[in-house]
Amino acid sequence: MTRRPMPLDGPRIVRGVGFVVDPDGEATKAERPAVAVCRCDASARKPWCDGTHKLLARRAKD
Amino acid sequence: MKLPSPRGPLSRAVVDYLRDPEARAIGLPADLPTDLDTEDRELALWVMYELFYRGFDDVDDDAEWDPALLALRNRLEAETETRLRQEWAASDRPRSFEDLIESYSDAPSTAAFVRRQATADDVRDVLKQMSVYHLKESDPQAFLVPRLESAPKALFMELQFDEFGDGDPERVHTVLFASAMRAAGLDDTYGAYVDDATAETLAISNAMSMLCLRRRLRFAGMGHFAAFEATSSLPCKDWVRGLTRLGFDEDVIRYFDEHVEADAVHEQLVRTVCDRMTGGDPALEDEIVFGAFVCMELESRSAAAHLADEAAA
Ligand code: FES
Ligand SMILES: [Fe+2]
Ligand SMILES: [Fe+2]
Repeated sequence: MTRRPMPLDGPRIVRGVGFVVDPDGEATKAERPAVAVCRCDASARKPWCDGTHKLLARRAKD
Repeated sequence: MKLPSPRGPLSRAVVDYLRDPEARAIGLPADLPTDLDTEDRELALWVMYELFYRGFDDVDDDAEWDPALLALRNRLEAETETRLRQEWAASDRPRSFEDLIESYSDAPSTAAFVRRQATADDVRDVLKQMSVYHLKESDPQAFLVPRLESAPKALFMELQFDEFGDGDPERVHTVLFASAMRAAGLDDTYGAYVDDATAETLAISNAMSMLCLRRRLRFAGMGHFAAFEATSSLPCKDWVRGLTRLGFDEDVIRYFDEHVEADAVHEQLVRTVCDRMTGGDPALEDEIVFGAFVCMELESRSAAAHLADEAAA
C-alpha cells in the first residue's frame, strides 16, 4: 500500500510552451508556466485538465 | 485591520493584552481557560497568528514575538495537535493519501450546495466565511519554503508562482478573491468578516497557520495543502455552475473558474512535492497523510455546520 500522494491517471504537466495544438490543428494559448494537458479525453475544457478524470476513475470502481 | 471583538475570556485577555502596552508589562493571566472546540479559543489563536501575517492597525508590530503570547500559543497548539492526532488515531478512514481523500467524496460539500440549491444570500454567507482564509490564500504555505530541500522547493515555487499571479499583480489569487467579494456586493477588506467567522472557519485558518509556521509540522503542512489542491478542481466547477445559475457577476465566477484549471495543475505539482519531501520514508508519508486528514476533516465539519445552519434558517 503506497501512502504517498501518487498521481492517478491524470493530466500531463507541460512546461514552457506558448500554445498547445490539438489533432485538428486548433491552438490554445497556455496562460501559465506549467499547464495540465488532459489525457483522459473527458475534460470539458480541453486541452486542459479540469479534474474530470477522477469522476471516470470513481465510476470505473463502482 | 483592527483587532476583532472578543468572544470569551481567552480572546478577551489576548485582545486586551495586545491593545494595551501597559498590560503587556504585567503579562497575561496564568490561569486562562483553554477549553477545546470553542470559538473563543479559536479566535484567540487566530489573533495570535495574524500577528505573523498582516498584523493589526491598533497593535504594535513587535507584539509578533511577545514571549507571553508565544507561551500561550505553544500551550494552545500543543492541545490542538494532541487532539487532532488522537482523532486521526481513532479514525477508521483509509491510511493512504488517495483513499483518504476519496473517502470524503460523499462528505457534506459546500460546493454541491452552491451548485444545487443555495440562494444568492447563502452564497454571500459562504464567501464571507471563506474570506477569512482566502484573502491570505497560499500565504501560510509560503512559510514552508525555507524549510524545504531544494528538490521539493524548486517544484513548490512553480506552484506558488502561479498562486501569486505568475508575475502579474492582477492575477494573484488573493486579488481574484477580493474582486469576487466586491462583485458579490461584499467588503473585500482583509479581516472584514472575522467577527462573523464561525469556530469551524477559524479552525480551518488556524490549522494552516499551525502546520505551516511550526517547522516540525512541515510534512503535515504540505499534506494539508496537497489535500486542499487535490479536492479543488471539481468543486470549483460546481461553484461555477451555481454562480451562473444565480446570475452572479463574471468577476465572482472568475475566481472559481480560474481554480478549475489552476488546481488541476497545482494538484499534480504538490503531489510530487510531497514525494520529493518524503523520499518514500513511511514515517514522513504518514505525516503527509495526517495533514491531509486535518484538511479534509476540518473542511467537512465546517461544511456540515454551515449546511445545518442553512437548513435551520
Ligand atoms: S486528464 Fe484530467 S480531465 Fe482529462
Ligand atoms: Fe489559488
Ligand atoms: Fe491552488
